[in-house]
Amino acid sequence: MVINILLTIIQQGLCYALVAMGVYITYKILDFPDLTVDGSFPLGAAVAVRLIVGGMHFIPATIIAMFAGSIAGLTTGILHVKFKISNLLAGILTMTGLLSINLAIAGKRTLIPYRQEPTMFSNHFTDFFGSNGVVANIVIFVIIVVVIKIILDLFLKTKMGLMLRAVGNNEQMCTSLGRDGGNYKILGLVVANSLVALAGAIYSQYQGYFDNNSGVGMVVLALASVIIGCAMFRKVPVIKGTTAVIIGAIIYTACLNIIIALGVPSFYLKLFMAVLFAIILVLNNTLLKNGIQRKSKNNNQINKGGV
Amino acid sequence: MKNIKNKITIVVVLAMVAIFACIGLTSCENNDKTITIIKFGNHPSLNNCYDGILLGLKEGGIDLEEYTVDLQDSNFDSSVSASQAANAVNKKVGMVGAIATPSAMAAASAAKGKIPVVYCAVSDPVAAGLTGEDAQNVCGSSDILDFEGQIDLIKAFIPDVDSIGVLYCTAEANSISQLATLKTVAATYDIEIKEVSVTNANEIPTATDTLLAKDIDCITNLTDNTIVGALDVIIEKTNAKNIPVFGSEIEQVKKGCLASASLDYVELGRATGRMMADIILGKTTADGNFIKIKDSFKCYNSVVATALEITVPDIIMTDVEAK
Repeated sequence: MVINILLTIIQQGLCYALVAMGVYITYKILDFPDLTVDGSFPLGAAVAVRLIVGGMHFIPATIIAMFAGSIAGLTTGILHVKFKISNLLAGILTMTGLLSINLAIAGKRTLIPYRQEPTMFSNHFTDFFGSNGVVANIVIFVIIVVVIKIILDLFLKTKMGLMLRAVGNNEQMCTSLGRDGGNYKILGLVVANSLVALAGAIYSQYQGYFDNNSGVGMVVLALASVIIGCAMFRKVPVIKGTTAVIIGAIIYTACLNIIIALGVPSFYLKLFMAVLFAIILVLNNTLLKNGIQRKSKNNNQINKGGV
Repeated sequence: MKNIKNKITIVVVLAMVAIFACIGLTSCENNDKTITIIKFGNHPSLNNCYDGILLGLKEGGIDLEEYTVDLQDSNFDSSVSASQAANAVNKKVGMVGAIATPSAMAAASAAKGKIPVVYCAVSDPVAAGLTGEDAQNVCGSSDILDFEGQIDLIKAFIPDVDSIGVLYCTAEANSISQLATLKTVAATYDIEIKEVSVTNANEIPTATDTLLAKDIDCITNLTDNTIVGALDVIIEKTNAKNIPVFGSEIEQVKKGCLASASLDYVELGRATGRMMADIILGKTTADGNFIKIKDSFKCYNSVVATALEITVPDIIMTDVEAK
């Protein structure tokens, strides 16, 4: 039973980790609060379900779903960068539009089941792990998340990735290097939303059905994961940001599942989650207090040493 | 030194998570006699289903002292539904009941045939993949609307009706499919359906005025939550023009609609509850089929009828104002 709950947490958590990695790019690296996520998550699911139920193999379908997400990100990016709409509003506009687009893609249905079609979680490969499904699910989730994480880490080390990080830290510096910071913002949004749509496509296959409302609250979930993850590992330089947010997503999911397992009345679910997060963050901050002070001292020294 | 502190932090947080997990787990060792019911949200129709299920379980011979019914409300959040379903399956409860389509799909997907899932109030179980080969160890009941019954009732109140107005919200996929069905049914009666759509609740006052200007004899409601939620606004405008509104559920008639021929959700829940009891007691198994309630429940509001000066037809109906 304990094992079962832990297994559920790992599966759901790893799936949300993909969303969290996307939001990590926009929120943490680009400092861009991207609300497109609430729309691009079900977008990925809608595209995947329509293609797979329509007879396409699940791998190209999932990749096309990812591509659809990148278009959503591109829209938000262009609205913000080229048409100077504020970042929050640009995200809201895309997200609102996507609500209708998702319904249209899903053929005006809010819920569509995958019936007997082979999906990422029920195919010849997963049959190899026996009929239980849990082991196979976890293997698949781990493979996908690790692969995406490694690709993302490598990407952030490329010239392009470095510029992306530079834009988030100091856009002026980027301009002074003769680069257009706006284009990198768009790039960041495209990458982030394609990850979110990928998560949506995978989540719908894991759940066994598409749900048009599955995106509601995704931004909050992802932000919470990013913030918890980054706050916890702020002082551990060995752990990369991407790893931190993956763990953050798992902790978030753990909180949700533990609260439900505790039998808390569901009316208080969100309140309990908020309290639990607060406890984690406060504990974390109190424990790290000394460390932070020392760090700021170091920073000061560095600043003095610098120009 | 720094590293030690970091390690302490991680250990503390992880330990906390583990402690919470243990607390949650100690309380649930043997859950064979627990029936988890996942209700999608707090909504009159869904609440009526739940009340009905409890009645049906008792009638079916389940002693609710011996069995625990664990009600989980998802607050209209399908990710919560999914977690609640996964948790019920992890606890190895005896049975999962699910009220409304999103909960039902979450439950069936989490149970994977290991635990019987009985759903209630799913409009289209076939499309939801809850029937036949798509779903193992799943059965339940459907709440498909009875449009023939509704139009018969409208004709009883207004014999020369030739156009019926409908307000619906484009964001609700159920409304779009219900409207299509209603149009087909109305065509067989030679009645025209004139519809006006909204995209959110703020547009309802304008949309009502537009609809009332279209020379309609009455308005009938779908189970559209956006429209039903703003019923008061609509009724204020229709009353001013003496146009009756027919509801899609008894709760709407209580709120000021003239009449409705609709599903009695308590009855639906009751039938579902009896089904659950039979499965628990081993009389039947969840075989992938679903039941429907055949007779619609007719009710009217005598206060509204008097106000609109409409004669109440001589058919069997319940007056919601009767005490």
